[in-house]
Formats: sequence, structure tokens, C-alpha cells
Amino acid sequence: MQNSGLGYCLEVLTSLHLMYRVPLPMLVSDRGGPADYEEHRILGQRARQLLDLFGIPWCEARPGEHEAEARWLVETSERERKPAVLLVGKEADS
Amino acid sequence: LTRAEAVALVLSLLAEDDFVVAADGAISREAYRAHDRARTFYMLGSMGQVASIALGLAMTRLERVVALDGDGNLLMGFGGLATVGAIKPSNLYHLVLDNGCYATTGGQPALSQKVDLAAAAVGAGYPWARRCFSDDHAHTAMESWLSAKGPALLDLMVGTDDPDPAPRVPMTPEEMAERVRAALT
Repeated sequence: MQNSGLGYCLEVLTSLHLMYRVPLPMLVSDRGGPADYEEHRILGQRARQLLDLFGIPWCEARPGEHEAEARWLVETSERERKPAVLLVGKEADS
Repeated sequence: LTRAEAVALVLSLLAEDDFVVAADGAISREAYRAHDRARTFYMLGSMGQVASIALGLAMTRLERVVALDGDGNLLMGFGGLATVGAIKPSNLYHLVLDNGCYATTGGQPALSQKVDLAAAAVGAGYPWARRCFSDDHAHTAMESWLSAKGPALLDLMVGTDDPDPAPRVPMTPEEMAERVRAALT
């Protein structure tokens, strides 16, 4: 999903996935950099803090690491029985 | 018909292996009180996502999946209606217990007093959707709804009175999820 979707999803991530302990691997776009449009900045620049606040593990996608990242994403969400997020920015393309 | 009576009536018409997704709030509590079953998922929170959760179940199961929704609840996550209509799971049955207001928070009017939810469902692609305004016809309407090809939506008008509020479901969220998970395997 787009990182703006994170804002819309908070109620479900908290009172469905976290509360009932339902695993959920998530690919979320990583936006809000200085060159990005301003509508992505407020939420995009706080996405990591937002995930930390709710105890949702996340990592950043890097070029050439997609297989390991996909494995981390699925294994972490299954093991911890909660959502886990792979943040995918423009620089993750390879 | 009170909402609790409508919940009890629909549960009495279901088959044992049907899955039920009961909307957060009073609908879950009334479903538990009327007839607790291992194949009912009791939502706590996630308002607006009843149809979406039912859709996820319906897409991975062959059994019938019955969503017990509220009008305000459906309106909060209206995009779910479009997703169900677009994907058209033939085993999804969507019941809206429509009291025209947000009863839990004090009866503030909901847009369902002005928006035809059955027409919206047809617009979204549900092959069958009807409204029922009469207590006398509620039983027949439910039978037609459950024998239609899904996804089918019945927008059933219910009263706003809640003379005997149902208590909370005495299970932890983890216990609720685990029970449904066990029924799925």
C-alpha cells in the first residue's frame, strides 16, 4: 500500500491484527523525502515513528536484497503474530 | 423487530458450517447471547471492516460466509462494499441491521436514513440486494436472501430500542481468534 494508507489502516492494525494477534506482512511505499510532493511529507516522514509507537517491526528495502527482505517480512510477522512492514522507497529498485 | 431479535432470527436460519462475521459493538454481543458458535468471529473494534473480513473468509472457503453488519458500520468502510461487488464471492451473504442511527453512542442519525444501501450494493455489483421495511416480512426476506446467489445483501430495518443490552463477550480477543482459526483447519 501507499504510506498514506497506513493512516487509514491504523484502527484495523491496532484492533484487529495487534489485538487478535493476526500476522500480516505489509509492503508499504516509503515517501516523504525532500524531493517528494508535500502531501507525502507529514505522514511519510513519521512512518517509522508511527510503526515504532505501535510496536510494529519494520525494515527498509535495499537493492539486491529483496529475497532476504521478503523472508524477513513473512517470518517476522508469523513469529511475532503481528503486522511487519517492509518500507519500499525509490532507491529500493534494482 | 429489535436488532437483537433480528440477530437471533438470522442465526436460527443458518447451517452449522456457515461462518459468521459479527460486527463490533452490540451486534457481536447480541450474536453471542443468542447463539454462540465456534464459527462466529466476534469483532471488537475495526469498525467499517465487517464486509472486508467476511470477504477474506469467503475467498478462501467454500462454506457460506454471513456478515452481520450495521448501517453506520457499513458506511464507515464503504469501500468494502465496492470490493465485494467487484470480486463477487458467490458464498458471501451480507445482512445490514439498519436502525438508521449510531445507537451505541446515543442515537445520532446515520446517512443510511438518506442513502439506499441496497441500491449502493447493486451499483457495486452485488447480483442480489433488497431492503425490508416490515417486521412481518423479515423472516421471508431472510429466506429469500439466503437462497439467492451471492454476494447478496439484505438491508433490514430494525428498531432503535435496546431494552435489554447484551453483555460483553466473555472471551479474550486471542481466544476468539484461536477458536475461529481452529474451525478453519
